[in-house]
Amino acid sequence: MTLRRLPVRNLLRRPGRTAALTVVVAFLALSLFAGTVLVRSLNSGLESLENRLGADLIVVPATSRGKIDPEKIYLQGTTGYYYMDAAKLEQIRAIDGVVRASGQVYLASLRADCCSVPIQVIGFDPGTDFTIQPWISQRLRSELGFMDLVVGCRVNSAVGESIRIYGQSCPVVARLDATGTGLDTAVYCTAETMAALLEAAKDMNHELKIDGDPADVVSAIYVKTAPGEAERVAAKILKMRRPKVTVIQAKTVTSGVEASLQGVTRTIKVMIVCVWALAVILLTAAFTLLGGERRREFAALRVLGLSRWQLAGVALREALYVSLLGAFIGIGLGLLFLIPFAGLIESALNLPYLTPGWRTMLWLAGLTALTVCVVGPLTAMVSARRLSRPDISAILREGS
Amino acid sequence: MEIVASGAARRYPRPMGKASFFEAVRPVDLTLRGGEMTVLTGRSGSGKTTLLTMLAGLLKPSAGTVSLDGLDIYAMPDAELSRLRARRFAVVPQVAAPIMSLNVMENILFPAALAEKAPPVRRAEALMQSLDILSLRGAMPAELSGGELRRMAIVRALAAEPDFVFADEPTADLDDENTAVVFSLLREAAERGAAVLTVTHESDAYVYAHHVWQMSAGMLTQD
Repeated sequence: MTLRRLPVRNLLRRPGRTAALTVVVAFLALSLFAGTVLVRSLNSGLESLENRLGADLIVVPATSRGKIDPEKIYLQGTTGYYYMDAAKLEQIRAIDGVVRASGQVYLASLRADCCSVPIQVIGFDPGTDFTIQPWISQRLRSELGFMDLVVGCRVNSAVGESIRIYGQSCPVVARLDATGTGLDTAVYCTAETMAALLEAAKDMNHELKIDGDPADVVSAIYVKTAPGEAERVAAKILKMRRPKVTVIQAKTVTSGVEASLQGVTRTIKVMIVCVWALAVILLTAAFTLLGGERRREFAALRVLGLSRWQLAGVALREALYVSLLGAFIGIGLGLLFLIPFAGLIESALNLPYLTPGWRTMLWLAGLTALTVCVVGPLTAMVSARRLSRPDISAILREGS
Repeated sequence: MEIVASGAARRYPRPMGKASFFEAVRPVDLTLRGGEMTVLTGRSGSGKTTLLTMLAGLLKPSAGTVSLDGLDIYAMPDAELSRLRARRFAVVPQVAAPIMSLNVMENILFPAALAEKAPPVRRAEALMQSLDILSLRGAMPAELSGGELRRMAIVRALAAEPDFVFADEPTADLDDENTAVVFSLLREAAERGAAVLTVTHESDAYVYAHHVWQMSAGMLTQD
């Protein structure tokens, strides 16, 4: 029996006490780890949304005002059936201050009889697009061909499989990285493919409210302006007639999300602070009470020749082992909760949510374990210091 | 090999009185030599335990010194004094103070482990046999009676063959038979070369002692 093994023996002697302390530490680790991952996932989601948005202005048909919620497009993947003449695109491009403009066409395949899976289809022009193309190019090196589809990470179709949309069989050629937004539930194709799908939808008597050729419509126009020109360009677009349009400033989408996100992250941070304050008080009280209970035993150790530092070391190592075990359990529970339920968390929060990769998770787990293993023994320090300076003579006297 | 108390005194402030002190031990001169057993007796509250703990390196005197072979032990840093206690001293405290997470044999061998000595298993077993607790070697302290804990503490103090043994009422919970065994074991330790100090109310101890001292109101007188 050596001094090094004494803390473990002390912990094993009182399994109930050890378990109670471990639960408190595990709770501490769980709150810190899960809270940090949640905040980080929400921030990553917002960053991803901003990156994917890419445009300063989004122009949609005015007739659709009230039905189009830009946040819904990005957070829930709800597109819809609204179209305007593609000629509008050229008018916008001609406005001074517009750097780039590209149209997108939306088609939702929500009717089970038309398609193999319910999906949102977004058609874009690879020649002019600047919002979807950069994202797709990370996964698809070659050009996107006619009737080819690129799917968001949460669409249940693998590369090589085909999706049937309005009777047309479309092969999946790539699968995109997660964004934590509704864009993950959409599929992407070229404007040419979209025109063919719109034609097919019309042939199946699907009401699309398109006047004229499906190849000459767009659902939304994405506009990149010169720096500081967004508001002036938006005003000019709004003055245009035929067709009348609504201009959505992209920052209103992100700022709305950002405001919600700030509220959620603030709540999470406050909860983390409260849990930590409570846990630190609980742990300090627990270690102090336990120290009082063990005064005589610690005095005996001093009598046997332990120095103050060695005695404090025994108490601190006990706290460290409890902290390590608690951190392991807390982080494990955090992983069990965060990874399988990421989708549910996203739906519940209704905010962009992008779970960090395993490297980041590992780093956060390590950081949590380190923090807990520093804080746990620190709370025991008060008790350890008190125990290391006992009036041994008084304690070891009968009745003391 | 000797421990010398020179003018060693200990006083405590009275809780209610301003600048008022209780003199637990008045200045004492006492020498404990290797090969000798010293018995310290006196009424309760006379300062016996306080003197013993000062000599054992556990309580710094308010005045005077305690020296081991000429070195003031309380001038040593805590780590050094603790190492000295672990390697050369053994104390049987007034209350049995076992390490609750260790069984009887582990408790007995623990001081040797602290002193980085080989575990004196055979000597421990022989001492346990003498005090009739060999069958309890695997028992936990919580399962032991007061008398058994006391005997365990005596074996723990003597097993590693320390140079100095300080026993504070070592026979308090024991029957006459075990009391006699304990005093003879302490005498054996002295004959082996250790300096032994025993605080006791038992007059039976006098026959084993080389010196008997009496304490009264913090003052030391030789019987």
